[in-house]
Amino acid sequence: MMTWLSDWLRDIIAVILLAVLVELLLPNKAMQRYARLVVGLFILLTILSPLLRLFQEDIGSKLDASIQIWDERTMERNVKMPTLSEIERKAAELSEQRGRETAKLVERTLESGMLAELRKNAGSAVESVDVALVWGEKRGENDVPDIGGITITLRAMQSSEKEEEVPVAEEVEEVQQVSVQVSVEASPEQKEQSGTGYPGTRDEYAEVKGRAATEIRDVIYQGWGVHRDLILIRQRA
Amino acid sequence: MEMIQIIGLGLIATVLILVIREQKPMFAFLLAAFTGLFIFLYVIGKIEAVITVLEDLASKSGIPSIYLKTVLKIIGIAYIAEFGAQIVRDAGLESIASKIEFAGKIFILVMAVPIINVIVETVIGLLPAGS
Repeated sequence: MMTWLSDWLRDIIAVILLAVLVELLLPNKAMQRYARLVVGLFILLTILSPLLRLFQEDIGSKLDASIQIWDERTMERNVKMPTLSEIERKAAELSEQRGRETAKLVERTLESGMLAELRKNAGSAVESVDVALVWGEKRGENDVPDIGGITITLRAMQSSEKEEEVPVAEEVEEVQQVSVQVSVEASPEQKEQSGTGYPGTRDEYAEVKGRAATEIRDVIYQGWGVHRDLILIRQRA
Repeated sequence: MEMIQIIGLGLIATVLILVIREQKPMFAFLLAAFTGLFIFLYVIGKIEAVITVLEDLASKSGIPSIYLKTVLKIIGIAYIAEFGAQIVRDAGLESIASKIEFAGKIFILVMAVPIINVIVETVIGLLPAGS
C-alpha cells in the first residue's frame, strides 16, 4: 500500500516539475495558455491514473496507441512526391530489367530453335545449345543484340557410335567433343562469362573439328546467318 | 563571456541597421533577420542542457516517455513559431506574424487531441454501461 502511494506521489511530483520547467522554457505569454492546457491534461491523467487503473486496463498503452495513430495520420499527409530524377531512375531500372528478360527469352528461343534444327539436319548427338547475345556499345531503345557466341555441346559418344563415326570423320579420332565458339567481337565481359560459365571446358569437353563440326556450322550458318567463327562445338569427354 | 558576445553582436547590428535604414530599408530588414537567426541558432544549442535535465527527470521518476515527447514538441513549436513571427514582425507585417503565432497555437492544441481522446474514452468507460 505504502509503495503504491509513494509511487503515485512521485509520479505526480515529477509531472508537476516537468510542467514548471515547460512554463519556464516557453518563449512568450501567448503560447503559455495553450501549453498549460496540454500540461494540465497530463497532470490530470497522472492524478487520475490509480482510479482509472481500477476500472480499466493500462492507460499508458492506450495513450501510446492513440498518439501513434495520430502521428501516422500526420505522416500520411506529408507523403513525399517523388522527384523527376527519381522517376527517371526507376524507369531506367525497369527498362533495363525488361531488356534483360527479353534477352533471356531471345536466347532461349534461339537455343530451342537451333537444337531442333540441328537434330533434324545434322543428325548429330546434340545435347545442348547455348547462345550468348552481345549488345553494341550503345544500348539504345531499339538496339538489337547480336549473337556473340554459340556453344554446341555434343553428347559423349558411345563406343559403337565412335566406331561408326571414326571412318566418317577421318581427322577426328580421339577428339570427342565438339564445341563451336564464336567470339570474334565478344566483349571482355562475354569472354569472362564463357570462361566462368564452363569451368571444366578444358578437361570435360573437347573441341570437335572435322566434318561433323563443319556440318553443324553449315546448318547454323544457313539457318541464322551466324558467322562460322562464332560457333564453338564441343563434346563431352 | 558568451552573453557579452551576443550583446555586442546585437549592438553592432542595431547601429548598422539604424544607419542603413534611411537609405535601404530592405537591407536593414535582412540584417535584422540574419542577426536574429544567428543568435537563435547560437543559443538553441544551449537548450540541450535543459532538455537533458528534463529527460533525466522523466526517466528517474518513471513518467511515460510519451509525456516528455509531447512536452518537448510543444516547446519546439512554441519557439519556432515565436521566432518566425518576430522576424516577420521586424519587417512590419504584424498581421502575418500573428497568423504564424496562430498556427503555432493550433499545432500545440493538436498535440492535446490524443490525450483528450484517452481521457474522454476512459471517463465514458467509467460510466455504467446501461446509461
